[in-house]
Amino acid sequence: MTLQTTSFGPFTRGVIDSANPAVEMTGALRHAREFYMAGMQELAVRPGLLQLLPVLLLDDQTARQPVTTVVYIGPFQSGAVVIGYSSITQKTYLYYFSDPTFQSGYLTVGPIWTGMSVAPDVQVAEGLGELYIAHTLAADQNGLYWNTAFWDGVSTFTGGAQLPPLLVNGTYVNGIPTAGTDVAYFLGVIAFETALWGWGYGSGNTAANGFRPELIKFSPPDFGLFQGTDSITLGDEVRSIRQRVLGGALAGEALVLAGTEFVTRITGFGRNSWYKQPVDRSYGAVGPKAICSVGDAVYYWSPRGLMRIQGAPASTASYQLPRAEVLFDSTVATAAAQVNPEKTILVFDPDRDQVLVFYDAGRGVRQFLAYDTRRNVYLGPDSDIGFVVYCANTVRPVINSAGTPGIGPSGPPSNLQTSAITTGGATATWTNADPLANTIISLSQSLINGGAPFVYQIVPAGTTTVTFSGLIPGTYSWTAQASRNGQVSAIVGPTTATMFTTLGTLAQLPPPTNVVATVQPGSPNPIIGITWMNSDPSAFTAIFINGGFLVQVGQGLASYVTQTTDRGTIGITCQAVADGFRPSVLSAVASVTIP
Amino acid sequence: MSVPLYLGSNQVVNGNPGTFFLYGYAFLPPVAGQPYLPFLATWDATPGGQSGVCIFRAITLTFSCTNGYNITLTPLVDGVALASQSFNSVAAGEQKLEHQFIARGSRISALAQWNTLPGGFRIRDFTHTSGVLRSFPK
Repeated sequence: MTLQTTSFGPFTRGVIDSANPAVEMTGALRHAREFYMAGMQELAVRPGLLQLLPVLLLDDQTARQPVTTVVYIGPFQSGAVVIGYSSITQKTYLYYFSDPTFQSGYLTVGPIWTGMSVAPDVQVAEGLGELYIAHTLAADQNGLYWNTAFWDGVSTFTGGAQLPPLLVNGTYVNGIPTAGTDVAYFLGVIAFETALWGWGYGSGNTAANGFRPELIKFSPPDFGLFQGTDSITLGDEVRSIRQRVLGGALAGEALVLAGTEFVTRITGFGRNSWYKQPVDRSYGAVGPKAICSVGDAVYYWSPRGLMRIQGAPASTASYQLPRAEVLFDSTVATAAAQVNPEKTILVFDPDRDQVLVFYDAGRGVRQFLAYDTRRNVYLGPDSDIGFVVYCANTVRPVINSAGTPGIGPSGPPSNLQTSAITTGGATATWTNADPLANTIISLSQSLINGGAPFVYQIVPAGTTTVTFSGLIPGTYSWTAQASRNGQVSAIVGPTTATMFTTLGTLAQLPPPTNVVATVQPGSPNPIIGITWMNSDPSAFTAIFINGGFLVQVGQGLASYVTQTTDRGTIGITCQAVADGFRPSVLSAVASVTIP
Repeated sequence: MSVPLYLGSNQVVNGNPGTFFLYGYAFLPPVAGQPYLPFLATWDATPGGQSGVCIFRAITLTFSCTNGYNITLTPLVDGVALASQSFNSVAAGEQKLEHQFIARGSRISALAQWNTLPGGFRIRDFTHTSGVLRSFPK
């Protein structure tokens, strides 16, 4: 008999925790604790240690104490925000870290909510450098409790003040959104396609109209004011707690929102094109944090285990519906051992290509299993973490260029004066704040239709005067701006000291000739036809009826038709007008009698 | 570039609650005092088919490590654990641990239990050595 050595692996199928042993299981592991896949299907031990961050988040008591629970960590602007809850003060606080690695101090923004007896499940969205904060305890069928909060990214709140509420339900006036007066009680918020989306709130200040767990609202583009008409209903039953929206995540071109009994995909690029497609009407997600985004897919934890929805179907036809993929067949035993599933947290770990699923395994054991999204295999569950995980998130450092900006101008020019006005020019003078900065001199002309400013000259550093010349007669104004190393100061002017009128006289245009007016029947009023000949083809023509201005028509045009309510004999005259010239005298009067 | 992952908690550390952590920092337990020891378990292999009869002689774990190892290997034949063997060394680099035994049966699987975690590990292969006495068509 010859002995042969055979591999149990290579373990390209990861962990399968429940299977018929008669099925060929080569390449699969029954357990793999504290491992992840590295490189080409290589099992590597996972570094386990959690580094305690050197930060104590303090409450707002006179003698400030640490908060008791960290309920949210996430990126914001170029730094990060952390939300802490204190069971002592029963308040939830917002903190801002300018250093996204949390190695330096923080700004205590202030209390978000007060009178909370439990730590909230928080969801936030960032837009235009501002932060929107909602949580799952905001409202229920019995009342509206803790409003959606809003932070402008700058203000702080002390002395009993707290973050302001988000106001919604304005109305469109001529297509322009206006501010609403309803305080929002969203159960969650997310940013998608330059709009803010919130779910769980309808309108008003009572639960009867306010608590709408199946409803989602979206803002106009660029995080505009929420309008009452802009909403989509996801559930089939109105005000059904069983069909509430729990959480959302982005998958490629789609926003995926999950409820307890459904998952719905939303695509589009604005209020006229939002398109909802129910994808899963059986499994749904177990909790507000049991959903996360990975590239062009969303992963969520259903009552049976992990599932996935791609943002776009395999076909490029976006109206086709992607499938809800079942990924839980390999982890049936692990999923069955879960308790308190509503506290399950999914987060993507891009360093190891894994979706980590933090869950409560019962008897005080908090652990996670991992799904490798590149190799489509499970690993874990790992050992007991040793504490309850309330939130998990990545905060990617902001990478800036190693270069440092050059020195900009120390200040704008001052003491702007105009002198030596001539028939075709003037002299501008100023004082430089920065002797090493150039000065940008812009000139604008006040003409019939207004003149846009243009850069007249970029004056070298150290120079404090420039002479305008070759100007056609008219009124002008100029501005000055310092420029150094590509950076500019504020613009100074126009002021009365930078406005001037040249001494020259404008040439006068010749008037139109051969003005003829005719009348024809019309409904409801007679029609007057006016024709003329332009003496200067580059001129505009102003038309007057009985001495009153009617209209100015374009360059070179020689006819005009209008209805009139006038009756009897009327006189019509024309006048040539153009920039840089004085208007012509009025033409000869053309008379016409209107019956 | 690494993308740090952070966890928020109500854990009390050094008398202070409301702490938060950077995840996956070093080859140590997540929190002091908690177990953090790798463990591998294979599914059954049936060299002679589900009802075949085989002689099983060894299981072998090959891996590379950065700072030594302390690992126990356990074979299971027809679902019954046989005697374990522990291996302990401070050597780094490529390693091959072979636990020899003799047993007769149809199915074999193997366990690898880390008794300490002194550093990083990368698994190359996990094998069994067997001979088929009587095969049963698969």
